[in-house]
Amino acid sequence: MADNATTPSSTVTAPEATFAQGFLAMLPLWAGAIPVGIAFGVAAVSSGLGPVAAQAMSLFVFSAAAQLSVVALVAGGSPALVPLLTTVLLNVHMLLFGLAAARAARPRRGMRMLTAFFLTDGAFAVALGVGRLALPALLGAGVSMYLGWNIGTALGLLLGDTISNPRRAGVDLVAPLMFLAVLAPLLRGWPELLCALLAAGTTLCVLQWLPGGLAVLAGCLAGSLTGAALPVRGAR
Amino acid sequence: MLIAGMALGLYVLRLSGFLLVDVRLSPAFERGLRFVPVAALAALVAAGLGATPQDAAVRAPALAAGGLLAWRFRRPWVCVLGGVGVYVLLGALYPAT
Repeated sequence: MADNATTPSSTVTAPEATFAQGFLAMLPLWAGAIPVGIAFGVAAVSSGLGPVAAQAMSLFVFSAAAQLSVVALVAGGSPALVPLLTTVLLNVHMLLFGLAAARAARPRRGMRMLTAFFLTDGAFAVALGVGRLALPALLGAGVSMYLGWNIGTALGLLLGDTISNPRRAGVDLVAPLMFLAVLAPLLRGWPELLCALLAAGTTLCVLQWLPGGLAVLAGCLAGSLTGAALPVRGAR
Repeated sequence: MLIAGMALGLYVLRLSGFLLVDVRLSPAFERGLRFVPVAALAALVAAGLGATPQDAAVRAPALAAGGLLAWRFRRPWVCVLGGVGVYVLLGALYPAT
């Protein structure tokens, strides 16, 4: 009887527990998100974007790379089309991340639409680190990053230019290091190692000429196409 | 207007992968998708090196140290603290970089 009473509730709470795992696993990345958010807030104010617009950008756009680039472009007096194109180019790899996440989890339409808003590089990596790529973990990690990023932006707007450059403390290295920590256990054999090396090499080459999003997309494609071309394990 | 355009464009981009999930894919493409996490993480780490040789000169040793610590200890915080520690140390020793 007791088993009958507890089984349904444990089934219901499983996604919530996975959401919480994703949310908590993202907390170390706040160490990078908050200082960079502060830097964005400070830069936005000094570029003349205005505090309301800067916070609205963090609330509705939610992309550190795009927002920081746009602040620089706005300060340089670029026409509106340039920041819009930059936003797309810096995030074009999200298409592949969304496809991989949805393929692994097969979510309902509402869940897809909600999770898509919170999809970032960090959330994707952290959800992978939690275990098998699960949508609640991706959503939890994304919501966690969203909070950290918006808190950072608000602090930057409040503090203004009273703080020095946070890059000197290495805060912008926190995210790549987290990605590395998640990647290391996934390198279980030579196919994964080969894919990772090709993806990294391609990204570095492309980064010399094209924006970050396109470079990451090119690296992703090079690595995953290599994986697709490799012989299937166990096949003769 | 600019913020609304950015928000909409980015949301459509983020959603497009989720909407393409029901499209039938070839077995080779399905195999390739299984390697997307490894390829994506490696690409993101490489992008974290920075676009200029000056950036990479300080960031590469920090990321290498983080990678060694991640491989040895399998703890994210050890990797992050070790990598940032090396970065700060190098920044103090070679302020010009």
